[in-house]
Amino acid sequence: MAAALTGPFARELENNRSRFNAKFAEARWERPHLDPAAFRDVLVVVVAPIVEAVHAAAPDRTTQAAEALYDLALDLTGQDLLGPAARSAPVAAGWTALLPRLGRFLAEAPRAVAGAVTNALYNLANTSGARPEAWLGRMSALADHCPDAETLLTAGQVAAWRAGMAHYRAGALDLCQRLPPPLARIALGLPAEPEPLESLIEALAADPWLAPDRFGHSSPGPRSLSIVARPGAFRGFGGLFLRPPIVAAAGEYFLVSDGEDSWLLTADACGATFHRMSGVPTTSAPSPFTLGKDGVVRAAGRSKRFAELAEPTSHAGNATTLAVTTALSHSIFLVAVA
Amino acid sequence: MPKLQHVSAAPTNPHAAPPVKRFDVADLYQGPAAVERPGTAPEAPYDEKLRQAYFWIVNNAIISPHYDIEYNDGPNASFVVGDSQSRFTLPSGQSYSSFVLLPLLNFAVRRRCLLVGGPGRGKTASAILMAVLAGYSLRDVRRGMQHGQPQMTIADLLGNPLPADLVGAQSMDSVRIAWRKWLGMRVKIIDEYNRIPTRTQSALLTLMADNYAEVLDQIYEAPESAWYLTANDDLGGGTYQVIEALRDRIDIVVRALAFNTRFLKVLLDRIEQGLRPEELVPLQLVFSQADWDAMYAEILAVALPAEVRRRLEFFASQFEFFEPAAEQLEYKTKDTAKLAGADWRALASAETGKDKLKDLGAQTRNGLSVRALMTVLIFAKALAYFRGNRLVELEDLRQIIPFVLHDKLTPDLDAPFFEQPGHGVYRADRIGWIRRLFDLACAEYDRLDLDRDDPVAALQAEFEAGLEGLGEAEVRSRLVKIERLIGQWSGGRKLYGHVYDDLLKLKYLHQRYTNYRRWLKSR
Repeated sequence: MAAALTGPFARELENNRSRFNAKFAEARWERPHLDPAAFRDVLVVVVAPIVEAVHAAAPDRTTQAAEALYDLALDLTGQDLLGPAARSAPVAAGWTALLPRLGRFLAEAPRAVAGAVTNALYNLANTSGARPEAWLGRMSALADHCPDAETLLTAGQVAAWRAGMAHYRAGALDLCQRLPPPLARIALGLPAEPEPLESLIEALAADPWLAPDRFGHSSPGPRSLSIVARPGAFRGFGGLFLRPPIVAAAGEYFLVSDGEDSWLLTADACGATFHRMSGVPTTSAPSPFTLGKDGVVRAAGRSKRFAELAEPTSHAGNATTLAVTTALSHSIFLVAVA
Repeated sequence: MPKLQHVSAAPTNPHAAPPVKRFDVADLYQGPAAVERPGTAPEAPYDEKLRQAYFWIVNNAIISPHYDIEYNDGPNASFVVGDSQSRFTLPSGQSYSSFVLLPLLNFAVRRRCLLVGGPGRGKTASAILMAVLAGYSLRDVRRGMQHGQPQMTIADLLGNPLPADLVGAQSMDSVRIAWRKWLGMRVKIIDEYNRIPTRTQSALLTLMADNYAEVLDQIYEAPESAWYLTANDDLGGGTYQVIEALRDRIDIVVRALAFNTRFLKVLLDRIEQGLRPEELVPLQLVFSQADWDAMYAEILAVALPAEVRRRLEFFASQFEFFEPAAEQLEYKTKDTAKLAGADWRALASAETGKDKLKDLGAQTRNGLSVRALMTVLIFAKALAYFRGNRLVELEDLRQIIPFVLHDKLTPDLDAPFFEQPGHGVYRADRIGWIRRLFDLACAEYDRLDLDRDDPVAALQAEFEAGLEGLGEAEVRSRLVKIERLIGQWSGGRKLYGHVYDDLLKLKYLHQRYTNYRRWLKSR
């Protein structure tokens, strides 16, 4: 059991004791499994430091923050996202490691900021290939530079793309242009420099396989065809597929099926994500790529043989990427000029 | 039972899913925690917020499944039930529970509401909810609530002089008063006000009427407030008789209706779960001082169309006129008879020649005060505003009038109207009686075709166009028109309340034109 609660949060709980008790009673009526002792621990260990951070940043906002954080923590404990039965470690980490660093933003909009951080971590944790810990680190860095909660959350969306949420690529690039350049650079994982971003954004938009930190770096030789990513794995090893999948074009994305289920695959230099869906029509897109049975890929005057792509079971291309599957792998091979 | 802290949102219009998913980076922040981005949550319009508060209260807090304020959108289903052949209607429009709606409107227009009904019917709970909507904590509300009791002194109600000042002061000016905190609250609750001693009631009257408190020559200016008084007895009886001036200051009367036993399960749930709705009012329903002021300004801006106003004028004109009270027309009022302490029955029986069933004024012992009419206007605007309209409709007036005039119109229970078959029920049902009065007034208004043929309104419109530049000949012509109209009416036409008001209006116009003509001649 956690130690006794003291400090500003304890005072808020004391001042509105009956109201907070009534909220718990109501929540427990809805979710009978809600454990009072577990929730008490959440309040003491998780919520109290966050309220203290708000109190330190803006004492006059303590009451609102305590109320909002109590409500949200109660809701999330009821959903087993906080507390001893928490089923999402990144969410718990966000509450213990990140939110106490966001005192001034929480003072501004406690429920909105805490809820947004929670949801972002939940989505990152539940997106195969995403890296919630990277997002947590980047948000901590952004917190020192953002002027307000709205800007922080906007930068957080860009950071989420960089943390592996490849499907947010177009939106994140749009948001980069709305952010002050130093903040956009931090969100992209670059040093906070004030130079304009236009050329960087244009380059990133044109080439999904250009990593932001590679922009402007002179490469030792001409760019060549290479396998840029191998997303997907056998379900028995933590992946999605029961058997080696096949791939088809679906606009700018790829449609992947293992015969049981279908997913939309989005991929770029930041990561690759699968999104379960059904009934999506296959639509071919203009593509410069061709693939031979021997595993030779040709595109834009370039040619290269990949032994692992010999005897492909399926392949599909779009303007920048060729996706290939084989009978010997549960991964999708993504080939691009990089 | 719905989650108490949930405020239902209007349903959205669903669309078919697109064939290929479009990813939106905003989805990053959608998930198990229900939130809105800072700065993106649109503040609900105040009328919407008021409606949200109403529906939250009726769905979660006060079990009042009575839709006695009925609105219809087109035809409705209607049935006759029981030996008394009572009409039971199923409204086709959104209808409301007066017990919840009227305290809420009172909160919006910061007036004085009396909640009457037997013990344990939610009167105090309703008042407490209004204070919570104003943003006060439950603890502050409970501390601020004044409980009427026979030993309640003025000091209990308003505050005490500081003992040190009382001993050492050289003059009254230097005696400081420790004013009670509740005086500064925007929602003031007096529980069981009819148990307050008469002298303390007078202090309360000053506070309610003029918004200030006085102790030992020291004045406390109270802010504008919404008042809630509760009483178990409809007639204001109790330990002490409520002084008439205090009763007159009450703007609207709300009756706590009986509990419907079909809803006992909800009570059981609350007991078992220890749920207390007043502790769970969602914060988004709370009106800050700025919200409250802005909402009030919007309510005042709701328009009352001339045709609706005329109906109210016609209705209100029925009651004050009392032909036997005086010789001169201006004094032929019930107020004259009352001030003289004359025998009401003797005077009323002296009134002959008129159809006492047709004369609506014969049903009351008094007329309507200016304050009562102003209250009708403000609550009619509030009801229209609550319904999302910016114009008062006739039905708004019809629905609100019985509650505003509940304690303002005193029925003459000896009047022939109450002797009519089926009318006995109106002796006890004042809401139904006043609504019936309004319906009868509207029927008479229609019969007289006053919407299309109202000569006094035409003369008034002519006058309101202004006197500037008006020649003497035109003035003379208008004077002749007025005199001719009065002449037509004087030929045996019965004098009813509305005719009385019209005559006095014509006299007013005549006088204004006469004075103007004198001025023209003197130039």
